[in-house]
Amino acid sequence: MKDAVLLGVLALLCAGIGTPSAARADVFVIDTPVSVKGLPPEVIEGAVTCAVFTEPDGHTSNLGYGGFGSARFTLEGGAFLGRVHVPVELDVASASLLRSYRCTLYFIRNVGGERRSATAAGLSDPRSPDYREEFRRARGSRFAGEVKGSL
Amino acid sequence: MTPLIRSNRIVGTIHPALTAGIVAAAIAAAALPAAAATTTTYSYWVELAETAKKSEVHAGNVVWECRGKYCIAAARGGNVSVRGCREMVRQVGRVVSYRSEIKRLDGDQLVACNAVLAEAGPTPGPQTTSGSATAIAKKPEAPARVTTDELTFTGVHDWNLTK
Repeated sequence: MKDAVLLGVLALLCAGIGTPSAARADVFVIDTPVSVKGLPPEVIEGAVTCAVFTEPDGHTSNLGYGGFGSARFTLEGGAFLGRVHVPVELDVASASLLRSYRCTLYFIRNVGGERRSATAAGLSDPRSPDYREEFRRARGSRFAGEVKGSL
Repeated sequence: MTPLIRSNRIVGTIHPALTAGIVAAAIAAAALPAAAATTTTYSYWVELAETAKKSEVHAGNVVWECRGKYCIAAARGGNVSVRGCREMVRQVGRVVSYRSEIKRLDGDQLVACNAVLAEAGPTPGPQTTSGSATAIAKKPEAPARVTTDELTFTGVHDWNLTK
């Protein structure tokens, strides 16, 4: 009897893993214009990562987390100019519940054959010897490594 | 009662008084010169999710006459606004369609309009079957999408020197 109950629980768990939950069915798309240039050759890719929130000030407080998504783009000659579409998989029942978002620009570097990501604001991987060192930016250039706003 | 036809489908009926109002507004609109666009009177229609419990609604600086699931008005300019829509939702509940002869709120704007229910809590207007104000805005009529400001970075590496 005990084994039967255990098998039943396992079956339910497996079914849960195999079937996408209804709460995750809704996808919210964030379009982010991206303009980067002057990056060194070890930066091979970029990425935009977005989080959404059900709280109006969630983009700063991180309260009311509602989902997360990321999209990559390829750099050519150290540059990329275009619009990145970030599909955000929702952890809430509906996109209509969302109130704020935050998107961050990442660079992916090839360091000795290994891919390492860093925010555009600076290296954030503790494995890097130059951890926390900023990417060098052109003097006087506009910089926006993060965008956030209301929904 | 006059049948209300949408996409060649009869979706409801309008009280004769409302029909007369729409015709009068249409005649008035046709009689005015096109150049006076902002002073032209247009008919406005709103379709509600539930039957209106009030016959007269003041929203968007316009007095609306409501019967069943429909409200009509005649006003100058033909513009529609989310603000006006939200004022209506506060009084009569969720709006399915909000339009004039020349303009209408799109799916995202309707979501923003109906969101006032979730923000304000229970309203005196009709309730959904679930009874949850949050659930009212559950189905956006357009794909949920937003465009952000630009992410930008300009480094110091000169690829012309690399070549």
